Amino acid sequence: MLARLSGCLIVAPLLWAQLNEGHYYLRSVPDVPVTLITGEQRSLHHLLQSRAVLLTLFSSRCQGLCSPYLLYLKRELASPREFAVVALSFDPRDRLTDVAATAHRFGLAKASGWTWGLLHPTGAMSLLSTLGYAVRYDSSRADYDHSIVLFVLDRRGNILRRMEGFQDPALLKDLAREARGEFVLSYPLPSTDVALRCFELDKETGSWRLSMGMALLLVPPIASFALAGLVQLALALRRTQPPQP
Amino acid sequence: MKALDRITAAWIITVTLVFPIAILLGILMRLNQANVLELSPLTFYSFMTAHGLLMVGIWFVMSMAGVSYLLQRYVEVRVWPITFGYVLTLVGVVLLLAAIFGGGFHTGWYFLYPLPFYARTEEWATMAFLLSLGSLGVGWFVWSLGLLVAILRKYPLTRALAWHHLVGKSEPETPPFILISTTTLLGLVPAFVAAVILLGLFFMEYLGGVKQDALLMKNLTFYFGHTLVNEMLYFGIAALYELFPALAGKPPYRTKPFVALAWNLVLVVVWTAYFHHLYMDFVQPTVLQYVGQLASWIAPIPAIAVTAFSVLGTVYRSGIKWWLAPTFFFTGVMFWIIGGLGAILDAIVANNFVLHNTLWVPAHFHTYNLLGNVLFSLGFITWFVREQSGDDGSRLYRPVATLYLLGGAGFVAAFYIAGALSIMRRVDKYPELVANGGVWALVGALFAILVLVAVAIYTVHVVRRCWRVLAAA
Repeated sequence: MLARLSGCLIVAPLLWAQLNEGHYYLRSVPDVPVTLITGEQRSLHHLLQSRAVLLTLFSSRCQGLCSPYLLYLKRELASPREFAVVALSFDPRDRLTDVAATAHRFGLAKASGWTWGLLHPTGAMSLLSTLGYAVRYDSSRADYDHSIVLFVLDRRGNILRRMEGFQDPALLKDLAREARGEFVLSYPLPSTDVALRCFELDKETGSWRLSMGMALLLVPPIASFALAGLVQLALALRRTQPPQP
Repeated sequence: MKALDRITAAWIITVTLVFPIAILLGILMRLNQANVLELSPLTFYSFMTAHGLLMVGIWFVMSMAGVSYLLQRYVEVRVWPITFGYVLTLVGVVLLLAAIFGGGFHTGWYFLYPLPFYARTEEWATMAFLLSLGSLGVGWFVWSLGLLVAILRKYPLTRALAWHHLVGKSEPETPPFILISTTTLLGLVPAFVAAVILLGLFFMEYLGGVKQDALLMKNLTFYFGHTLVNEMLYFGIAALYELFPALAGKPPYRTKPFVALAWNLVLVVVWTAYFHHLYMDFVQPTVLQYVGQLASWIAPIPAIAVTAFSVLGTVYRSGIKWWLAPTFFFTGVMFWIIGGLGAILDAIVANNFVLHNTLWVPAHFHTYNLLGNVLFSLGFITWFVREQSGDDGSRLYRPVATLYLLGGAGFVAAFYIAGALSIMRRVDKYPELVANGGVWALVGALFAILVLVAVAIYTVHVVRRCWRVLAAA
């Protein structure tokens, strides 16, 4: 199973798609089976029936970012309203007791609005593939290299948003607003092959400034007056020329 | 028979023959929305593209043809730029129709980036469309420049813009027709420059694979499209200023300081009014959204107020004989006021959030086009036909005026009501949630059929007489 996961969900082909969050917009996720820590058998779409969901994936055995990420989510989304947070383990080594222990460790096992569960190995691959969730088993560490991603899923099982990694809490709030059904503004980052941008974004500081694209909008009125002036000048010069003998 | 008469007759024949076809496309779309017809989505959006671009195109060239003809009263007008514009317009329209009906090009008349690269069934359709746009743009630019040069040969720029009237001088007088034509032509040049830049960027991506900034492309598209549509309305107003007083048996209009001020404001402000098309584009710098809101008020209100006041003053106690030409001009101004108010309401940011994607938008632009700008051009055409043939079409007055105005008013009312009910625009079928959209589509289609009947009768009358003008050559 580990080998299958590693083989199918190789990281490299997904890298570009991970950066392009819009690539996943309105993609429908498969209705995979899930076992909740209460022992109930559910399907993913069943969890979406009553309200939108913020979905995250983790491994109970993760020695990397899973714990700080779950803490980050707990801090920012402690008691969600009008949407639910669903945390599912993708790790085929995890048992239900492992997932329950993780939920208890973060004090979220019985938290209102939080649902913890385990993906069935049979459905895990198709779900992870649809979500663009990169997973690679590192045998030297006996652990998974994997994405840290939060997804907003609507009640029909469509991906509305996808947020990679630790982000500004304001962005996380945007995801929560989106899950509540509010209209949240978003705009694709300009790619490097765009000719004339309206804005330049400094990715280090997050600041932006107007660029040549916007300046281009001044050309038409200037050209208009320049053209009228030139025509006027040409006609005036012609009038001042003496008539040919 | 003069060359200018012939080329004007050719424009009239071309436009009045295409007009009923474009109306028919619109009726078929409304019947499809009413579930009376079952068009495929591709067919519907192809019709929508053809209907929008043909309507804008034919009434722009007709309003310009009218101004070109009337301009000879003041300056020497050379015919070759008009003929050049005619030939390139025909080439552009053929390419456009080939792209739409041969290549499945169905972007809608906005052709917003990047739709031209995707909304087509044949890849060549994108190239055909871009070449069509290029042909139309070059033809119209040369034509506009020809008229501008003709004016500037006699009137220095400051005089053509009536700046001396602004400071209270009354002599030498700049006729209102010259003032409006100059501000409109000067307003058009940047729209064409914007189109050239836009086309260049489209070709960069099509031929060189260089991606474009969607915000920049949308700004340029509306710089061109919105300004063009506004300016064609002002050409119609120029014809009205020139012809209406005489039709009412009154002396010609004179350029007063407030008239000069209104049209100079139009010249500058119309370039920035298009920003109201980008209210939904939150990445547009906020200051431009404020500019868009202010310009949307400043650009039309003085022009509407001055024109409406002048026209009402002219009609009052004039004993005017109502026949088709003055009726078209007068009702055109009245509906322009209604459509203008509808547009200004939509151009207020707070309202736009509610109205922007509803049928309120086609409601207001059909009001000031079908019942405004088109009527100004029909007024000119009717007057031209009488000048050339002596026939004022008095037999047609009641049926054509009644069917056109009743049909037009009912047609736009169906749009307004549907818009107020939040029924969305640009869809081929209405979902169940707004199923009453189908009822209003049917009402609109039935009234539009009245317009089509009126136009068919009128077209036969006009084409026969204009054909004689051509045949006399």
